[in-house]
Amino acid sequence: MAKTILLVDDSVTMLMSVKTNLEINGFKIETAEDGVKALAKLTSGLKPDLIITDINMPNMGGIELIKKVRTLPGFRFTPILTLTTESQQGKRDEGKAAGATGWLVKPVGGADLLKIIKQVLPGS
Amino acid sequence: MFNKFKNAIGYASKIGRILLISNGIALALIIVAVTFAFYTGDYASVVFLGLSSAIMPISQWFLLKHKSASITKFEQKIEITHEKLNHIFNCIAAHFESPTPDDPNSLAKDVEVFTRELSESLTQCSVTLTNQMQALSIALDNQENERLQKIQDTLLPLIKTLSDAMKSYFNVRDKIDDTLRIQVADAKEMIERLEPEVLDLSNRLASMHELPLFPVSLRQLDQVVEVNLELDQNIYSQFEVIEHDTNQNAIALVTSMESLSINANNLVDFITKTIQTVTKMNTNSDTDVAFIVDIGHFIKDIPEKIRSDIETLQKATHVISDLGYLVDSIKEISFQTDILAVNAAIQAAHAGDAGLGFKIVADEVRKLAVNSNHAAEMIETGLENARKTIQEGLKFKALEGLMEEIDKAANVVDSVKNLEQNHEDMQQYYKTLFAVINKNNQQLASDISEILSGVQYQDIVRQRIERMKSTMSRRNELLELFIQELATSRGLLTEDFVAQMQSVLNDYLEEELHHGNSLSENSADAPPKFELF
Repeated sequence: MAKTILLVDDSVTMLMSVKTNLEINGFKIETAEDGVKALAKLTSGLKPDLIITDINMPNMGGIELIKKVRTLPGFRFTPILTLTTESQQGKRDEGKAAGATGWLVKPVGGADLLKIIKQVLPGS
Repeated sequence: MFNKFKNAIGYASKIGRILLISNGIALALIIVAVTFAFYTGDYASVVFLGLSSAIMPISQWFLLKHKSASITKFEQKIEITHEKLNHIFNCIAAHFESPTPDDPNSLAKDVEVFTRELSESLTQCSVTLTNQMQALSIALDNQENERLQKIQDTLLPLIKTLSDAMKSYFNVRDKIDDTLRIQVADAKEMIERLEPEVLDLSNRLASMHELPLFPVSLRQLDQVVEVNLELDQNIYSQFEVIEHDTNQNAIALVTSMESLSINANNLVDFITKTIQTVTKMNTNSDTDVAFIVDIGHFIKDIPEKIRSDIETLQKATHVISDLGYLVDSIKEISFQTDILAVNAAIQAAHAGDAGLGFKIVADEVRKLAVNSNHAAEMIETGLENARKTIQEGLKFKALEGLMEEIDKAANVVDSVKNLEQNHEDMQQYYKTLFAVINKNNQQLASDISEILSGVQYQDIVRQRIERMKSTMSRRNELLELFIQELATSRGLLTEDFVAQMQSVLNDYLEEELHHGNSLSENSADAPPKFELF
């Protein structure tokens, strides 16, 4: 059965490109434009195998989203990757403290992205 | 002049203190004298009492008499000082111009209110003091001690109030002086700091063979900034066009890639199904080919079988021919039997009645001979017909043509074998084709994946443009404020615009540093692009 991934990014082009890329490789993709909408989907019953989120977004950023997701029942161990242009160590530390599983700096090549996803989603 | 006024106030205070002390001394002496007289009844107490009674008015008269000139002078000084104070207050009030409603200057307002209140208070004090001084003078002339006491009681708090008010005034004045001193120091520092830049600017302007007046330069600077802002607006517009175009193209690219991927997958699906169909057809063909091969083998064996059959038939012809001799033998035997039966009948006739039985036998033998001959003829006819039929079927030319056709038919086996080989080659070709297409499709999927990853640059460029726009906006606001300050402050800037502009630059550089870029990400100290915690 195809693994489900929730993509969170305020850029339509990012959502489309990553979604198409992962769908080609057999994943089922759900999308949200910011942290608030992502959280609404998660609290409405969506249970993705992996969450990939941007950091700088309107309404609710990635760090806050990760913190809130970690408080939801059933999401304590769900892998969460960040996909952002932020590269400094300070932000990485914030993400790690919030509960992120990994930090990816844009742009990430298709093969690299699949390789990392396979690492955090064994059997995918 | 403030010191003179202060001295005058101090002088008046001294007079009050002298009066108070002298009255106190006199009162003390009277009490001592009365007490002494009461207890001792000595005349000396009378003397003391008399002396003390005399001392108090004498001392008051003496002091006030001798100081009346000073009091008059003091009164004049107060008048003069009052006028000067009014003048000073007016100067201060003029210095701190009335603030505009939109931009209140609280310090100037407070000082103005305070100085006006202080002026009014001092005026009242001065009037009261003058009146009291006049009353004091009259009282002194009339030697009215009680009235003098009242005047003294009034004067003391008045002088104290006046003294406190003056202290407050001096404090305020000191504060104003401090503020002015700081502002002057700041202005000096600013002038010193700007002086090299102004000199440099002047030299540069002089080197350009023109030294425009400051207002002209300011106007030009204002115009330059306006043009710069207009330029920025146009750059903003282009940024928006770039964002829009890259966004649209990225979306179109992703859509095309998605379509390409779907088409490639459809092609692979089609080829997969085709291969499955071909494989199934191949299985059926294998069965058909095996069947055809069996038929081929059967056809191939036919000529041999026919040849064998022909030989058999030829042998049968010979046998039939041989059987002709047997027919002849049968006919010979039948003829001899017939003759024998005739001879027997003759002999039976010669024998008479005895030969009747024998005659019957002879007749039956003769019938047998006839029948045998008839059967031999029938066999001969049948054999002849069979021989003719076989010989008709074994005509050589016809058989030769048939054999050629049969030999050709036997070649079908080879054709079928060739067909089978071709079919296997075709199957292998399809498998190879499928493998190549599948491999190319995987490469295509990988390429599509990488192309789609390249679309992420659109988002990176968009964010970079957003940061540039934000920084340019901050810079323009600062420039506008700078021009406004230059125009309103007549060159005396209250803010450090260089530091603020440097702050804009530093913030922009720091923000960019927080975001990776393709030039810095390969450096040794760059943080990793991918990191799993």
